[in-house]
Amino acid sequence: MSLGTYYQNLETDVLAAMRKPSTLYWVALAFSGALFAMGMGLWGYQIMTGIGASGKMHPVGWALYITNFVFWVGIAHSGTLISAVLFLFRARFRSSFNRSAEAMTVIAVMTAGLFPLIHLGRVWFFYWLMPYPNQRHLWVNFRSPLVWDVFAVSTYFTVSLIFFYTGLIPDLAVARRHATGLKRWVYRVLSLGWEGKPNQWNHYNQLYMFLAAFATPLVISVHSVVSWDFAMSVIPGWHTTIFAPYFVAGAIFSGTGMVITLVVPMRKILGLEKYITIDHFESIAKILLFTSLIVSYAYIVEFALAYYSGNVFETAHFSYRLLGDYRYFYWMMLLCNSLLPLTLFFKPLRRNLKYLFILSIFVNIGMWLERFVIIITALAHDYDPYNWGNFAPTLVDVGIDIGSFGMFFMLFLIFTKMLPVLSITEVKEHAE
Amino acid sequence: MNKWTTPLAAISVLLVLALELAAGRSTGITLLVAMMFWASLCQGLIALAAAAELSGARWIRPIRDRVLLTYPLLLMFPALFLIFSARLDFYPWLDHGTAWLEPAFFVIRNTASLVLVAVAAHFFVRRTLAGAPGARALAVLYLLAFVVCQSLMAFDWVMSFEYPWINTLFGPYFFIEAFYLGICATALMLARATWRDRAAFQPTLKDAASLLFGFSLLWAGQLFAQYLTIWYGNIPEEVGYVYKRLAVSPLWEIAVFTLFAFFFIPFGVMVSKAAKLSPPVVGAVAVLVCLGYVLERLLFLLPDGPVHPVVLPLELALVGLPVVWATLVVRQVKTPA
Amino acid sequence: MTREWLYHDKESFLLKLKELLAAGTPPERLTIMTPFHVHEVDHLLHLKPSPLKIFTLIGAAAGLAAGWGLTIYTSLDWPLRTGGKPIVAIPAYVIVAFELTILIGAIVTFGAFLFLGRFPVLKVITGGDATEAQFLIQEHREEDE
Repeated sequence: MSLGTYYQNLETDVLAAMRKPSTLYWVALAFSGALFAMGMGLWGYQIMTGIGASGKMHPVGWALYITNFVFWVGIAHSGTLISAVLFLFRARFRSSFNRSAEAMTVIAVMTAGLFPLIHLGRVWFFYWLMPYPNQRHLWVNFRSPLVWDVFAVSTYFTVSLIFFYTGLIPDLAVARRHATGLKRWVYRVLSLGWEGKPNQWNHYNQLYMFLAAFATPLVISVHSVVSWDFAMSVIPGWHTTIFAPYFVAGAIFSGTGMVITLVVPMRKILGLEKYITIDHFESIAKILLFTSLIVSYAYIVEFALAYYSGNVFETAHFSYRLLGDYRYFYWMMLLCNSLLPLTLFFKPLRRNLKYLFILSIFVNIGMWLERFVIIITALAHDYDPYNWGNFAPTLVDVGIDIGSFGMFFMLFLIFTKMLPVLSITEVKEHAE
Repeated sequence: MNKWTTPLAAISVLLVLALELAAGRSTGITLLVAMMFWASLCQGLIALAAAAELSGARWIRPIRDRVLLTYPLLLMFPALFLIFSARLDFYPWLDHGTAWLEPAFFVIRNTASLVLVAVAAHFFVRRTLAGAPGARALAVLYLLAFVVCQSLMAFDWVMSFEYPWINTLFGPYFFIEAFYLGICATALMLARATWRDRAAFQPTLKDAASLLFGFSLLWAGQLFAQYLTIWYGNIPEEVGYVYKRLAVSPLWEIAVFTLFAFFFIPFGVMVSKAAKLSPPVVGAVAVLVCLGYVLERLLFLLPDGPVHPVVLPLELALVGLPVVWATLVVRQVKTPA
Repeated sequence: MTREWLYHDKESFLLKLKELLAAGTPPERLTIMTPFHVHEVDHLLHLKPSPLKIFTLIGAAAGLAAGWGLTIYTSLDWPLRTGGKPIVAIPAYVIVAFELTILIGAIVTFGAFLFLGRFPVLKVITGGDATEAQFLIQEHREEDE
């Protein structure tokens, strides 16, 4: 097949995904939209009733909402890893994943960004987290990791959005040629009148490289800052130096799992098997395995050093994690995060898409449970026995969390119909 | 592989043994510093090649064989560790240990991990050079052995001096530094090769210099993660460790030097494209990082045990001789048939 | 009068471009559009490297200054001791400064891209669609101007 035909087929195939949606699509969109609406409704109920409608109580003052916040921010990181970090390492296999991965990042950060608001008792005062001059001469406490979070996550969202949009510009130019009516106007405006002239490509290339160079330290720093929400405390299980790289590895691990969960069905439904191949998935599976090993290492070191030190609080806490009230969650977490991914050492399993899809679901569950275990067990069982207490989620908690999944999938479905799910330009570039 | 590498390594070990016997207890824990530096460098060198093999990276090709053929050096370190085990009484836990910090177990597990790394390297290198399949699986095994060995180096050799102080990031910190040293050693080898044959090696030099830049950032991030956590929590058990090292005069200066040597200078210099392409600049930065590593070991260990100022450079030179021979002096490397 | 050549693959396109340039056609008379970046075109047209990096540096420096300035100024303006930390807590402020460096750097770089590339290109948005799907060379003859 000549290159010209290949280019045309590529454009047709990818843009075909943006055609009129099927019934299945509408059903999926309606379902996830309904979940999202339920979540928002329950949030409204919580604002009216008070934060006590959730299960948050003394001593577990941070529970499911923060679990979800960390979970979604973590998911976002792998998208940036695939698009920015792998770009700097000149890994060719990224070009079939990076568009979906970048979309996943932007949508995940948006989802995550809701939770700091949701877990506020008085949501209407959220702007107090921003440093603005006010008549009481008060400023935000820059020494607090929560404020570092504000800066880190906002920066991450902004830069990811810019990076996502930049990558889209040439593809939007492709889309505008094939679109009609209102859609055509939208793509024309969004593509900024891109022409593909040499000087435009010259500037574009530099921009893309600098954005990738900016996004790379963000991958490491943002989840490190999120981990410091916990590590800056003094309670056993939270106050430990390894949290920063451990959380970053965990983020990439969970995000890679989510990429597989999203792209395996998307590829099948949209008929993109030619462009997203089994080899691509095998490379992603290797990243999954590698990050799983780092997370397992962190589990081992945390446990081992707690017992090594003989510190009565540390040993008590880790015994509680392993054998206490939340032990089933902990064991499930170990199974999903440390044991099951080891099967990826076998090549046939790495290349089996059904297996990868099922494994990725387990990884998502396992990583959600990891955040749950870390947050809840540490708060439930810290220094003073008088201060011990359990956490039980309410329907509001659970409903809002499910609503966040609804929001994520709903927005991702909308993305698949509005924008090219594959980076047409990059696939063309690497076609030869 | 050059036929002098192994004999030189053996002679080095014997000379170190002679020096330790002659100088006696006054050497203190000097051998620990010398061992850590050279072991991390040699292990990191092979680790870099293993990682390149696993990620299918092609940049390392021109220098890969020479890097891989340094593997016999790894056998020096179990031997040196056994020599060091005569100095275990400098550890505070020797008399009243725990299940983990028990002298015989300590020596056995650390020697075993050093041997394991050497054996894993042996199989990985032979299989890779033969071009036979299965090299990637062996690369994974080598890297696992490397991580375990470096973690034990961090937790057992260094952290146990401060028992019961714990720092969970210490292990990853050490193996990132070892990897960083491996990149420095590769950069030095490339600097020398580029000096002789610019066209063949300069692109690879640029890639190694980019890695130096990236790792300086990664190192700084790891250091900051440790410092920030300890500073913020302000728990007396942890702060004591840092305070002992930053509040006293020679150690404070060493700490600042280390920060510059590992981060500010490599980062600031390697940002420029011209610097990345210049063998003397890259070589100088690599040597600076190595120096920073040695000084950082002193920063960790000086409050805990005596280090002899004359014996240290001697032992560094003795242990380093075969390493420098295998990496920089040897002109031709012949792949074993 | 405008002559136009459309190609579906890079090689024939480059051949024609080299031929045109060798024949002495001044590059200003040529309009070239490609579906993706072709490095050889930059060499052939002797394009100067983009000055984008200067803007990036300025943006990053501004972000760094803003990060330190914001944190240090606000803590000195209302010196409230929290958690036993010093009023000007450098380790904490490093993080905010780092994030703002990246944020402002990225925004300024993107803005510079829009400025240097003269985006948005209104005549394309309102009028014709560029045919950048293929490799296009247009030569504008003097009689046109």
